[in-house]
Amino acid sequence: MTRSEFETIAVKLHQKALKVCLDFWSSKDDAEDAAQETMIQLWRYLEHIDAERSVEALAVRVAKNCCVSMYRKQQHREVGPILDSTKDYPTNTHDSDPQGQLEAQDTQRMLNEALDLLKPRERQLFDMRAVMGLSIDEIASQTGIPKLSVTAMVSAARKKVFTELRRRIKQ
Amino acid sequence: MTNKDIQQLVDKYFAGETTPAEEQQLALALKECEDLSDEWQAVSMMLGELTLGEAEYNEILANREKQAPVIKRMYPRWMAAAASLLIIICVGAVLLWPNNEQLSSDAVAKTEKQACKTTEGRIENAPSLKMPDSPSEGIGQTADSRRTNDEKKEESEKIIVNTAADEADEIDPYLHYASHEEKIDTMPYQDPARVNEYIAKLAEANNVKEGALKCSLPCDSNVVSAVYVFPDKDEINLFGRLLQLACWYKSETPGYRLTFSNQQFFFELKDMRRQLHYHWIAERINGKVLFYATHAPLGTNVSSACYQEYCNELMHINSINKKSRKI
Repeated sequence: MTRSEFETIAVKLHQKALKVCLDFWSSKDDAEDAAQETMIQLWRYLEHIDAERSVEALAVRVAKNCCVSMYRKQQHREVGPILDSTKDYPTNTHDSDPQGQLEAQDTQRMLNEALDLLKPRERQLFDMRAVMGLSIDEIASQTGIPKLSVTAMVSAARKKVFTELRRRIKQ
Repeated sequence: MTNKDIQQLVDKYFAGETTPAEEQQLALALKECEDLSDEWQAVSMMLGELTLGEAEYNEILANREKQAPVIKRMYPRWMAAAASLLIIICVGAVLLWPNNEQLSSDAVAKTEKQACKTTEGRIENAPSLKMPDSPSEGIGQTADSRRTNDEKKEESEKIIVNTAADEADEIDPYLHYASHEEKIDTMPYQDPARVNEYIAKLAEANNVKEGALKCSLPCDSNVVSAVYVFPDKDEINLFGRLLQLACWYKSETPGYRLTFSNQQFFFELKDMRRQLHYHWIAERINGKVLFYATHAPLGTNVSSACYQEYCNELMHINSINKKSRKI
């Protein structure tokens, strides 16, 4: 997704994120902070977002993660960056200690390397399931692929990634 | 979730058959596992933090709903709007009517007349209802049968009296026949002491101990007070809970007075049954919430001096300002 494409839908995405955050926070200020954080996360993840995919679904998921992340921070009274720009996926970073961050980076690197083995179509379906959080029905309607084929392709993609990850973990 | 359940979900996940909700469930279950096998660790990585975050978001919201029941709207908005409009019209009609007093006195007279008519009607109609079907039976009614009728009447009256007495017993077992107690609360009774019970439970749940009562002024033994210092945390949300609690009481409750801001909460109620006057004050001071509850017999002068002392103590200005203010 390009910056201009993002800017055209930014207002809509912000409204969507704010609605999710208002459901979570009793304070409007906190909700707005979390929604703003969501927009920053999405902006950083921009180059990985496919404009044709359901960006709103991703915004909702990222908003939920931002809420949880802020909630944890308030609980632990910790001050630090919510974002970890070294990660490819927008995540709810809860490892504030350097060791935890290194482990998280290592995990993400392994996952990215395993995902690189997938064919473009498999990768697309894997991401739609894992990142966007779309159901098989939604993927089928968005891609035009029959449901049974989506299930089979997602299954195959997951098994491939799993085999590669297990191999790397055992090393 | 048992390991068997987790494994079943993992198998389903690899078959591509899990729903997003099941994947969230799996992510949470794997997060809670202490020693993950390599296989499960890989699955956890594949599920990703977005799924886990979403699962936690839903879990937190579900827990909140369990802890604090949501006040559901009982009536649709239009009904509430219509009701408020009707009230405004009624109040306006009563206030703006030119012969208000005459109208009300006429209305009273009418209702009194109607009441007289109805009682007369009952007296007149009563014997006719008990008239026998055939005149011969009425004429042939013996003194014995009249007696038995009278006895039945007395019995039924006794039963009525007994049930009335039973009801009186149920209402107030300590009510003496010589006592002259006016029943002032005509609406369903909502015990103000429940606020104190709730706060005590909330304090216990959050490991907040009741503060020691100390007051430099001579204490009135009629006044019962309790003090708590809660941490000002979002998860406790004392102000929100207090407000929800105050809203539970009907605003028609005697002595109902509620004022609040982001900084201070003040709530007042009268218990007409026990003849007590309740006050609750909460105030945000230096990252803490001072909660002060007090109740005393109606008409007792309650000073806020003790409360002010606690405030000063929390604000560390005890030496600067020792003046007390009345509530």
